[in-house]
Amino acid sequence: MRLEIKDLYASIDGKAIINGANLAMNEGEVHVIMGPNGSGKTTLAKAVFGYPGVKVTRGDVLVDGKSILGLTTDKRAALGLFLGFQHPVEIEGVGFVNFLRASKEAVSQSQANMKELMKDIKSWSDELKMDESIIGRALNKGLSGGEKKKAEILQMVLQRPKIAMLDEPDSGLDIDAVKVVAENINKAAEQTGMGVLVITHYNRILSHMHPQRVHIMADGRMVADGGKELIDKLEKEGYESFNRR
Amino acid sequence: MPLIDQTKFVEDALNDYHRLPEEGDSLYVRRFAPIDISIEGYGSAGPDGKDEKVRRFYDELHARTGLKFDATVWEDGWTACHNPALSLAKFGDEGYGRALSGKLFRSGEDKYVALLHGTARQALMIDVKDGMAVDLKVLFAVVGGSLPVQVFINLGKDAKLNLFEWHASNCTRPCFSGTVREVKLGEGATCEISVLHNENSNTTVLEHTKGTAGEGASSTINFVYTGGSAVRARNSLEASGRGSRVRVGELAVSSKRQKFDLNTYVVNAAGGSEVRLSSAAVAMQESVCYLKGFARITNGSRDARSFVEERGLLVDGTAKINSIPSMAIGENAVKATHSSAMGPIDQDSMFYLMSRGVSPEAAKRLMVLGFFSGPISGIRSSLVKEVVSSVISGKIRSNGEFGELPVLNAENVIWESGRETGMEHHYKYRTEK
Repeated sequence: MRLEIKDLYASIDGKAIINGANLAMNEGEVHVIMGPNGSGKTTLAKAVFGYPGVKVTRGDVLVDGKSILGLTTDKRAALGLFLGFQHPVEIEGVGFVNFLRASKEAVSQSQANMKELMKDIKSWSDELKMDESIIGRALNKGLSGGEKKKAEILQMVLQRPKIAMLDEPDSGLDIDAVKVVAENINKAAEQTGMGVLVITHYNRILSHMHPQRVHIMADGRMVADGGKELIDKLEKEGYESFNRR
Repeated sequence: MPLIDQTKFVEDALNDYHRLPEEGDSLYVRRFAPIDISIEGYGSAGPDGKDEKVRRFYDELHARTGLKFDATVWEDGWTACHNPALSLAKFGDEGYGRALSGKLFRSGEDKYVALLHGTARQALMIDVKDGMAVDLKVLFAVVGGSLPVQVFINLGKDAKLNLFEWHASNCTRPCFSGTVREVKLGEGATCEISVLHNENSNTTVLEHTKGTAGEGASSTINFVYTGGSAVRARNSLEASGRGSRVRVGELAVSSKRQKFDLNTYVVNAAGGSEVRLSSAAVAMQESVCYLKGFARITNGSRDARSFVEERGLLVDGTAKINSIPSMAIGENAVKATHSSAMGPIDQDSMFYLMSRGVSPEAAKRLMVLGFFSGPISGIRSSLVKEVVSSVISGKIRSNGEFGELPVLNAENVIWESGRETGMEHHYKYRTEK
């Protein structure tokens, strides 16, 4: 799978947030988008997934050369895209396993084998050092910030997407948990060959990952693209140096 | 030798209806969904073939759900049942109730109750003797024409009853499915009564329950409304004995211009009593649902507790839910709360579910079942949980169609109390079929 964001402009309630963003990545690659607060990172991810409140005004989002802007969110996911949320929604009464089963069946277009699914949930929960009681809970209900982020990763590995966009998978996590989450993203990527696009403020999680491409975002567009050296530059000079360009 | 004095039983119940208090409530009078029911077709469903229709209906229900009922009641009779707690009183063609109902019509009170009493030709009697425990499933099948029926439930001291009533209809022309139910719990008695209305679109549903709970008694009544072109419910439950508990759960799913007018009146009439009314409604497709929960604590009911909760979920912008919780408290030393929360389906939740590949229809179904997960988990009977969740899920799955017989547990969900597993108020999937 190849995902391309081409000269994309998007607004929320008439206010322009994304102003000509460009990005291209393939399945199997690890990319990072970094940028300060308000630079449009989350809005970009939502635009790719067709969030109703984000209006694309110009440009395109392509998967394998075909525009996906006319597709509903579920159809975009069915192509093999995954969005890990910065703030996962709590949904009262929707059981976590119930939801996992529904999503797995929707993406795979086949009936889930419940024994296999429960086995996978148990195995990956252990890897992520998650409390097993999450299985009996409503979706994200009552989870701490860190548990929610781990639950997002659990969903990702069970869904086996082709490209996963992870919006701040490290926020709300302690140092140990950041390492656990990063290791499991790496492991899932190795096992499935999926591409990963990590959106983050900090390089903390990136010290455990090996991104091929780094994109710096400011004012709704990419202001720099490069390799890992950009992360070091950011660390030394901060976002201000990129804003001045 | 009759098990109970049926004549006295019926007369007492009829006289009690003169004292329905909610008719005088200004909110009740002003805020209601007018329902115009036709009884033209009543009693002229055709002379022949009803027994056969009932049998076919029962067979189809059994084939789809695997359920067996202890009794099936239809317009002209009922199936033989050997449970000693059950009996059926017949009023004859002219109608014993019809004659008695004259005074109700004259009284100018609830004409729908009068209609039901006046047209009912039979009454189902459930009499659970002191210390006995009875588990019953009863099917009320509307197959040929209107089915007005009286149900009298009497529990003796420390008696226990678990009753599931399924009211279904496949009537092909306008008719009504009407029930007048009288529930009396003796000292220390406990019951869970679950009433499912899943009638088809030709049917108007009239539901009238009146109940009292004696000292230390505990009554749980779950009303589930999914079917019928219109539903008019007037229920009045009283915790009359010291330390008694009355719990009423109402679940309603309205669609395709259905009109639900649900009025429940709960009363604390004794010290230390507890009353809890929880109503939950989901509405869509130009349907209208009124939730009117009235709670009253009588003077002298010290340490009474009363809770009224109404919740609503609007699946689309065309439906309406009117929530009118109300309380009248006549005693100082009590604990009482009422609440109301209505809203549309949360778009962020929809986006979240759809971002995982779940279709908009499946996402709505998940959210509706999630919305009802608390009330359904509160039902003690596992069987009733499965039936109720299957009927609700089937209705959402079929884009609001109602009156269809569901495939039981199509979602493959096990509902459980979860107290042992830490899964309280949630449900899980079967891992094996």
